[in-house]
Amino acid sequence: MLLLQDKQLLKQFREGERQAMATVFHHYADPLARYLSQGFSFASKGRQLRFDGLTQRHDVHDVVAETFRRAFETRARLAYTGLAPYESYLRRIARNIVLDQLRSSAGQWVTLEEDAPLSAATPSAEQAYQRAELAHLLSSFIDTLSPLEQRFVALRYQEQLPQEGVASRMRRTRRWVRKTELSLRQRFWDRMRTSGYLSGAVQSEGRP
Amino acid sequence: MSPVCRQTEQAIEQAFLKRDLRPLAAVREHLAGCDACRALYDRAFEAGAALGQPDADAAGLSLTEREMLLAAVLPVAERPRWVRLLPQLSAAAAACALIIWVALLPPPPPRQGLTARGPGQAHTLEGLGVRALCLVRPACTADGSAGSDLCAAKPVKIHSLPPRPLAGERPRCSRRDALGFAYRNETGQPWYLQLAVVAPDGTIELVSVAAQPLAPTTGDRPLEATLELGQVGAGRLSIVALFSRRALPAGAVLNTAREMNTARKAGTSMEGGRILHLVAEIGE
Repeated sequence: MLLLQDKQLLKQFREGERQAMATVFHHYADPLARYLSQGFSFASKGRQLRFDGLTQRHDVHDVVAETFRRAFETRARLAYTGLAPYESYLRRIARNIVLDQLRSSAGQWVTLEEDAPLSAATPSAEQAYQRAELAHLLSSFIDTLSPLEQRFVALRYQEQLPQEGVASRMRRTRRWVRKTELSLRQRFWDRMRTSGYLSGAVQSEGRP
Repeated sequence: MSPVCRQTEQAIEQAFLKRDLRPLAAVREHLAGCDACRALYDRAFEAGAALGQPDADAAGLSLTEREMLLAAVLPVAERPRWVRLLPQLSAAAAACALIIWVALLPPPPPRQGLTARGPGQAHTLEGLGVRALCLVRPACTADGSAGSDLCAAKPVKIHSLPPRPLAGERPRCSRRDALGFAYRNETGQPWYLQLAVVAPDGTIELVSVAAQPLAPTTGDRPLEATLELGQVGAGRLSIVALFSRRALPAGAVLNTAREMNTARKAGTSMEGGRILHLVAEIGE
């Protein structure tokens, strides 16, 4: 509803102002990712089919980015008049991208079923194990951080503040925030690697 | 692990650390067909999204993921703007300092346009000019915050960067300083001025887009826009100034800055306008 309600933002967005485009992106990207993960129904050659949703984060990132690339092209921006929900507009683009990839990849990474109820929300045993592994990894990593770094994590990752917001709340410079974030992510990456969390992904490939 | 998989892992690591998807473009095809690499990508970003929010719905996108994707969607670096009016200085103090500095400068030689420094030959454009100024901050570590009132109260020294530094001036800025600008329009005609910079890491940012044309001047006149160098890495900073007869869209300015930086031209003319390219060295 963002662009329907805020006419000034709509005007700036259509003119291609970067800040307006960033606002639109941050508002709509998350719901679009959820939509792509949940899947959708569609008709093909008279048959009602269902796309079960993207299961891999990489695919979600890929389709979200491509959707916004197309939606942010000058012609597309100018064509959007603000009379219909922008989220529906994005969904249409995303659906077309998914279906195009489906056709070109012969179903390698999407699942089509006859129209069926949504998949059960209960995670598989593998997913449950992975989540438990991740929860342990996160808590053990957080425990290694200084109180200042834990405060940083709380602001940046729990409250989801942009870097300027973190800098303001912590009374630090933006440069400090950037360096701290890079350092934290580097240590987190190293911990994921040394704990076997990342290599687990590689090793699991060859399993039956 | 194959060399391509190793390269892909490095690209994923870079994306994870710096929220930059560009390195992945080179291994895009491999990533699409390599289950192990895709699993690595998924695990890394799922963990990154869960950092601080372990119970969050895994189907959503975290803020850092959105920032990374946004940078890919809007290819000119979409990090939050580090180009701002100096918040640490009162606007009035900065303007006064600049005006005093300009008044103290010896008048430029007659008909000498701005000579932009570049690796190639210098380029002279009559009547129109932009100068880069280094606003040198005093050391201020009272509370570790460069933006404190204590810092703002201290005077700022203004140095002219190449090509026209005065005797005794430092030839370069440091990351603690800010970059200021002065322009000159002795053509007798109104011109719009747009300024963009290309940071050492290649990111491009608008510094100033004129909503109104610049009035004709005699000599240099300071611009209000300044650039904080704290977020800019040390190295070569390209400054591209576009003088045009009409206001230009931001995208056109950014594209021009990118092209000028790539071509390393000192200056050129374009239809209905002129482009100047300066280079400033930023030290640590």
